[in-house]
Amino acid sequence: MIPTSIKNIGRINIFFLVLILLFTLLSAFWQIGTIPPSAVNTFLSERIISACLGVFLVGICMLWVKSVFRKTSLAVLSGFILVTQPWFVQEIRIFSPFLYASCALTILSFSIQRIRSSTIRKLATFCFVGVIAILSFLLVPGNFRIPISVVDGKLLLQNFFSLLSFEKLFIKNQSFWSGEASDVGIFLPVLFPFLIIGILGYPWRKGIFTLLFCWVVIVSLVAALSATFPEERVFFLALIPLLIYAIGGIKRAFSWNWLPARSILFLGFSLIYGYSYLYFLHLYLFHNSLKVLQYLEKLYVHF
Amino acid sequence: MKTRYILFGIVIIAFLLRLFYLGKTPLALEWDEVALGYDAYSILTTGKDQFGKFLPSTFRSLDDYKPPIYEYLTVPSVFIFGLTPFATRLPSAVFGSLAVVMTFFLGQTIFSKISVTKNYSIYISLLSSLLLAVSPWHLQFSRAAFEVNVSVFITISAIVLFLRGLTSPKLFFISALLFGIDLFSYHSTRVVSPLLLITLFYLFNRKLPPRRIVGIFLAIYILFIILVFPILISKDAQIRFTATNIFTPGARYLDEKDLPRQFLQERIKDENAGFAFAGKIFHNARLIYTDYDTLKKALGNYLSNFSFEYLFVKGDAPLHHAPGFGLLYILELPFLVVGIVFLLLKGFNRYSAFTLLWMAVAPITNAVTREAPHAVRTELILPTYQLFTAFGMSVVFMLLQKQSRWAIVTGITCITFLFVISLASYLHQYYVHTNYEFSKFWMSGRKEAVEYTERHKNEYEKIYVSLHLEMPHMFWLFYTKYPPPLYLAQGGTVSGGFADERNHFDKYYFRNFTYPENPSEGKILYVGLPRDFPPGVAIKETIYYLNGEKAIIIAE
Repeated sequence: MIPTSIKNIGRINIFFLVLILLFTLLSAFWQIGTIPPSAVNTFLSERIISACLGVFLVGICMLWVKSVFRKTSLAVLSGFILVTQPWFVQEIRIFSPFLYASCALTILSFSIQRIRSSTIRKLATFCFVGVIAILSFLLVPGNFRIPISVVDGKLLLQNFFSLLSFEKLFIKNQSFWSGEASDVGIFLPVLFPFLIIGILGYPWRKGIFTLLFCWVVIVSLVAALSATFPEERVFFLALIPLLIYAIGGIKRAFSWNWLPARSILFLGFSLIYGYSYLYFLHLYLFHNSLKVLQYLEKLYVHF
Repeated sequence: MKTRYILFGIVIIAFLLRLFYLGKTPLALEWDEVALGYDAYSILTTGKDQFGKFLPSTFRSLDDYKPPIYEYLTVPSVFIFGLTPFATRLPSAVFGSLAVVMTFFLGQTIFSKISVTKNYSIYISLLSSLLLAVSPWHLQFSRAAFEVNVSVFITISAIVLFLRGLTSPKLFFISALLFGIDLFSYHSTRVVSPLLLITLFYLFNRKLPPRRIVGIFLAIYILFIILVFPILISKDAQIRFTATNIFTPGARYLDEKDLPRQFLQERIKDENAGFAFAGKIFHNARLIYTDYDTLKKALGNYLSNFSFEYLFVKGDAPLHHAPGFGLLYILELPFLVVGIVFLLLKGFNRYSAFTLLWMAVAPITNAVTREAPHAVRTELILPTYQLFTAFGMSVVFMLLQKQSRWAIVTGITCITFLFVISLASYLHQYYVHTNYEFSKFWMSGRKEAVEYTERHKNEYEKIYVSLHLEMPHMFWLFYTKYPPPLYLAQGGTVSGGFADERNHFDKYYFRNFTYPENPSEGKILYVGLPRDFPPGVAIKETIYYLNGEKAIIIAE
């Protein structure tokens, strides 16, 4: 008996879904022990856990996108886009408590959106906020241990906007002190216009986008308070909501009625996307591995 | 009828301000001007430039490969007035004055199509042309031989005729001709003018003439593109871009990123690791134009052209403004802001959109070149500032009209008075202080040095002129009015480079020297900067800048 939901997906979508899951497995597990290079204190098991969670997160993300935008093809596309984003690829291949938190938050958010019962929604909301608070406290040394009166407002604002800047999001993500691919941003640059369209096209007061908006703002504030800024990875928690906005932007951009324009846009987008992703892979697999090897023995935190 | 008289009056003011003391203020010609003048003289007498090239489509000049329009326009001026500073600067002054006329028609064309300004379009146009006539920015370049000033006139005319040609085929064709000629007027114009044309076609696509007319327009324009294309792709003509762009390190800018070298190093790493193909794809030298830090610098360069300090306080290089003055009157600022805001809110249509886009497009070329902001390279932005300012003034006037009579009179009187004071202050700074404070930058002293050496050259075997005087061969050719046929018979200019020591004519040798040179070469006269000579040298003549600083030393 084939469930109705799967029957409705369509054969083409199933084909691409399987392809993307295979691609995710390849991205997560291929040479997981050597790329990035393993230090003395690197545990392969921790990397495998991250890889598994990464694959799981791609699945959850696809389900959530389908739930938000009600389009299967868009959901499948979102999985592909998520698994090709530079920061996501890097995090799922190393020990990453931020990935664990991101999974938890995504599941909770998905629950908030899907579950009708208001009590459970409230509970899920409480857990959501609680997860962020606890993780901030545990993962970011110095957070909430500093009296509020010594928090530098100017620096906080500077850090906050720096996190949401074009440079950090698309050009140079300097969250890694272990020498990972800092020559690329959090996302591939080609997603920039779609992120803008998504943010403008989906007002923050509407439905699930209120949650996404607050999610990004809270995470950004917490990350901005980090004592190790700009080398903090808390901002990874904002990757999923920002990606949802970008997916929304893609949906709006390709809803143009005029077919020739849509075709040209799609062709251009695909070519630039492909080149950007291959460029990132080249940097990550080759150049940055060389860089990490140079000072591997000096790294004291396991990854 | 009244409009014609007022416009005539404005044009007279424009001509007077541009022609009065032309050739004397600024005090001297700088190296580009002497090069333009001498090339025109050479074309007049031989049909060839200083390098011996017959009727060139681009002038090698100081190895910067100048576009030809200004040189050819200077030929009749030199024919009538001789090779003088006045004759060299005259085309700029004349076309600067004509630009004031075309600004009136431009204002008329634009403001008559905007609903809020339809009834006042004539007054706004007259105000725009008056503002351009007295504009410090436009005056500065109308009174010196700058090719871009002629380009401004051609661009304004081309745009006016395009807009008017939407209903008149004849004007449309002339516009095509002018857009085509514009490609030969100045370096920056080769980028800005086509962008403006594309903008016009895009914004007015529904109002274009019939396809046949548009086809002829494009055919005329494409013909000019075909003519300019060999210049654009030639390595020689690209020297100017190579020397000034921010993507390749310049000889005098050692702190800049060497992107070609960085890309090469990355490619070598890939090749050594067996990824040669990946290296060619991802570290291709053509991708230096996508370097983020350089693009960020380009954005900064672009935005600097709109900075308050640059526009209203102190301009950029000393050659580009009067001492203590910016490029626009500070009094224009509030009206400029009011004009832009009101146009966006109340008068936004294709015509106003084009004007705004014109303002946005003009500084694009300066974004990717060094020395930003740069008043010369972005002069094509004129007269958009004047159009917006005039509109802003009309908005203020319309608001004043609703007030009581005494408020109107007081308001207009105050504004007029302040403008007159600003203009008087600018003219004082320009005519009195420029020569005194900026004589060094305008390379004064060369003429006096030439006169001295000409008077005494028979007493010496050779005359060595130091290259530290920067392009000295051009100054000596210009001020001696050395006959081009004779000069070309001797080989002409060998190179327009700053450090080239091969140029010479007559007894003059343009080279660096260590004083004193080998006495067996005979009696030699040396001309150089004070730092070219050790203490105790037998000085024959010392030439000073107007501020008392030593400019040139002549010794034997």
